[in-house]
Amino acid sequence: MVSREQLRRRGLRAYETGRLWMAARAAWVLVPAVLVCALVTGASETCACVGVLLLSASVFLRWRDRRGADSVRDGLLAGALPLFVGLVVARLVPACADAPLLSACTLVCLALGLSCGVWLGRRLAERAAPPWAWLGAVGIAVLAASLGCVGLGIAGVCGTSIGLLLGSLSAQVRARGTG
Amino acid sequence: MGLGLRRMDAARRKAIHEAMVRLADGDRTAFEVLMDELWPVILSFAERAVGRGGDADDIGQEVFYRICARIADFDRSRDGLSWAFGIAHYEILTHRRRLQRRQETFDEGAIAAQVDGSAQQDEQLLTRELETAFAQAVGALTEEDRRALGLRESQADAPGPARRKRKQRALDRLRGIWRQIYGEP
Repeated sequence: MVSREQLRRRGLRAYETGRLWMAARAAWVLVPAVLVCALVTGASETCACVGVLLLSASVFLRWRDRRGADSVRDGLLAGALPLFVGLVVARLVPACADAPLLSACTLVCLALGLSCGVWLGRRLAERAAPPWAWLGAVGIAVLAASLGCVGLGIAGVCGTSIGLLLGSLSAQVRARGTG
Repeated sequence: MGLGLRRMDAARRKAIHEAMVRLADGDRTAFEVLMDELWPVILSFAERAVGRGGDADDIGQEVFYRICARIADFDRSRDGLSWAFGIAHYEILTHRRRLQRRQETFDEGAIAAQVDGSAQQDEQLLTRELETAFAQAVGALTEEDRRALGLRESQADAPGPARRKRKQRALDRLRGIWRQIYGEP
């Protein structure tokens, strides 16, 4: 007969391993996304770096608890549109890659990031997410969007990230003000 | 399984379910509650299924670890205890299948000399299950096939080679039926 302490220790180990496996399932979505971005933009090293960061953050948040898992889901949803648009724009308007920080390309990225950020902020406010969950979701959204905007250069990445950050922050502030 | 569920009082059932939901949500403090409430239930379930002793302990532990490992995927709309019993039921079936395979591999007489009372009960149960399964498979054969296999008295005897062929064909059909029903020869 196993002792209670052994049972507790092995049970907890099984629990944490199970959670880790569940969290690692995010790779099914993220790895193909990173591969597509690397193939489309040709910046495989940058995509791999952002991808590793995104995957690590996603796995950690999903492993932590359900709120973390919700943050990852919301962040990925919010970052999916800028990711896709970034890839398309980089393909259609290659000049955006060399555009200065204050340009039409940056403006488009900022506007896109802003709208997705507002959507994310509203969603997080509906769930009454704590600050760390908000930070996690915005971080995931920024990383996901950056993957697609790698082909647009630093201006595109900055524009989308600032847009996402400001958008979600304003939605949160507004929700707290009305709530 | 039925007995286990009926004897469970509502408060304990609710406590188990809530602990599972909390653990699924990532609240590690609920683990102690799960151990206090669920472990004795799982152990007694295993004991009822395979008898008291080492096997029940092993199965109980295996079930408990499996529940812990899969709790992150637990669907909160389901009843936690029923979900746990589902896992336990599967483990017990696996254990029985393992026993059955072992029985097929080793000399039954040698095993019977070594095993204790509870294992003999298991063997009897398995033998009964096998007999029922065999009767079911034989029942699906035609009257002629049963006669060819010597399970029914035949009126007129065919010549040697024809009888052998008929018996072979009947055996093949019986194997096919067995595979169809139980998925193994």
